[in-house]
Amino acid sequence: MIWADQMNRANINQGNKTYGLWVSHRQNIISSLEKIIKKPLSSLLTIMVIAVAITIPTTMWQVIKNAQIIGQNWDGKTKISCFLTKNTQYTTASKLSQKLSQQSPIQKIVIKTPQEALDEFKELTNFDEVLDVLDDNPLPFVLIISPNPELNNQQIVQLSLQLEQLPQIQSAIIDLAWLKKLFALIELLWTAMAILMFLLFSAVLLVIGNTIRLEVQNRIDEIQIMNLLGASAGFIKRPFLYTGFWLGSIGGALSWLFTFISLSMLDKPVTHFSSLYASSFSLQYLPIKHGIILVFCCAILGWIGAFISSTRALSAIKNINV
Amino acid sequence: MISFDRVSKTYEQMNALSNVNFLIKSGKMAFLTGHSGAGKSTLLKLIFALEHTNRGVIVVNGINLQQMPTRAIPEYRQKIGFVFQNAKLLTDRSVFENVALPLQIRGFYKNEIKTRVCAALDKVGLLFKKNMNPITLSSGQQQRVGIARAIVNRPDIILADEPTGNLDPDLSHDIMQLFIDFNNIGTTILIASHDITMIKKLQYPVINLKNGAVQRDDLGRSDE
Repeated sequence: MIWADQMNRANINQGNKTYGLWVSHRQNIISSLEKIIKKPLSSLLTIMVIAVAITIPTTMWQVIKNAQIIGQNWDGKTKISCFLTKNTQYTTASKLSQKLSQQSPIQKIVIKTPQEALDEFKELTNFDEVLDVLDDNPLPFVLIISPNPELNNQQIVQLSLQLEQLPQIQSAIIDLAWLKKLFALIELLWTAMAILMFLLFSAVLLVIGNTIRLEVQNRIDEIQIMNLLGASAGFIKRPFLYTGFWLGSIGGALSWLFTFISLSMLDKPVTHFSSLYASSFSLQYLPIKHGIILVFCCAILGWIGAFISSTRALSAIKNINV
Repeated sequence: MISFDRVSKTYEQMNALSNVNFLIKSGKMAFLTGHSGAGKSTLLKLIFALEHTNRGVIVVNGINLQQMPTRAIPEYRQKIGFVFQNAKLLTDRSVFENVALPLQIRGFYKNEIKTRVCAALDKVGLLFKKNMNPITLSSGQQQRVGIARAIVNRPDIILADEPTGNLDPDLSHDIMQLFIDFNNIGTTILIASHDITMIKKLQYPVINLKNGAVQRDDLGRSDE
């Protein structure tokens, strides 16, 4: 600490007052934004690349989120289709239905007659003529059971197994397999999105890094003179760091807007699609809280990109000649 | 105060300075002379902490430069005014903003900067050019802006590397008079120059370098 004492002693007769870092930070926050606004074209390309790169995973994120909500909504509507043994009559089916309805895990039962099932089958397929050839209806009575909504998937499976024990019931099928597939698919998409997010965020880091590197090269005279006038590395880097910060946050804010536009374009088809399934689903947009986090992350990303790049660029020009 | 004690500097086995000793006391002014390649610039670079010595001890204002950590260099440089041969002004900003740079680096408030920059520009007689771009100024005026920038921080020491290198004698005289004025208010000044005729007229002590060694040093004489 000898040098520090010496420095202090040297300071005494100086008598100069300095006002610390905040003045310089405040100046740089404003001036770096002014530079971007005054020369929007040169920054526009960088900002757009950032915005597009961030929009892709963000939109994907929100779409997967929506798919998850769809899956969850469907969860409560899981039904058990109980196929009764062949040759069961309507009275038997009706009696069974009444008996089962009194059980607490069951909320509602709808009886589907073989004729109804056949009509539905005809409607869904184009086998009209083939089916007409058949002498009698091969389809059995079906009880479509809506379980109590409080039951979870496992309890529904349990219920279906109990139902299968009944002699009148041939088999009980839960319409849950596709839901499981949907969840598996969503899981897969999350992983895919995490990878995509990592790659695109790295791309943002590189784009900002490259922009800052060029900026450092453009201002090399200024940096050298600053160095000679006693500017610290922190002081020299500061405008670049704030430029990275602004590029990141403007790009992030734009990507929020782009995500909103992309999702609003999906809104109509999704509403139409869900109406086909008689579902009252409406598309969820990116919540404001998440949007703010997004912009903040992009700003941090910009800052880090600028830090790495300016540190590298400056260390390359450290030995400056008078 | 600038003191060199048996200082040597070699670049790839070439002796730039060998066994240099001298002491410039606080508030004194001296000239550094010698042919080009004699080691004048190297000597100034060592004082300004742009280079490190291979041997010997340099003490500036009580600070031993060998013991000074790298991170302390910027703050150290802020206390020394350096006048460069080619002024080294930034052409993307006005004269005012060029002179304001050292104060911005130290984090001064705007109004304080304005007062000090105007005072410094007034001192070198260029206040009326403060809003001009340095590119529009003559080389003598540019050099004076460079001097204003060097003194705006009110440094204890001013180093100048051929400040009159490419100026005609009248302009050179004006610039030298500025340095003498600063010396009169107590600033330590070391000027590297090869303009022997002008130095002889001015009657200040001279350190004469030849092939990296001090050939003649009449610093002691001026104290008597």
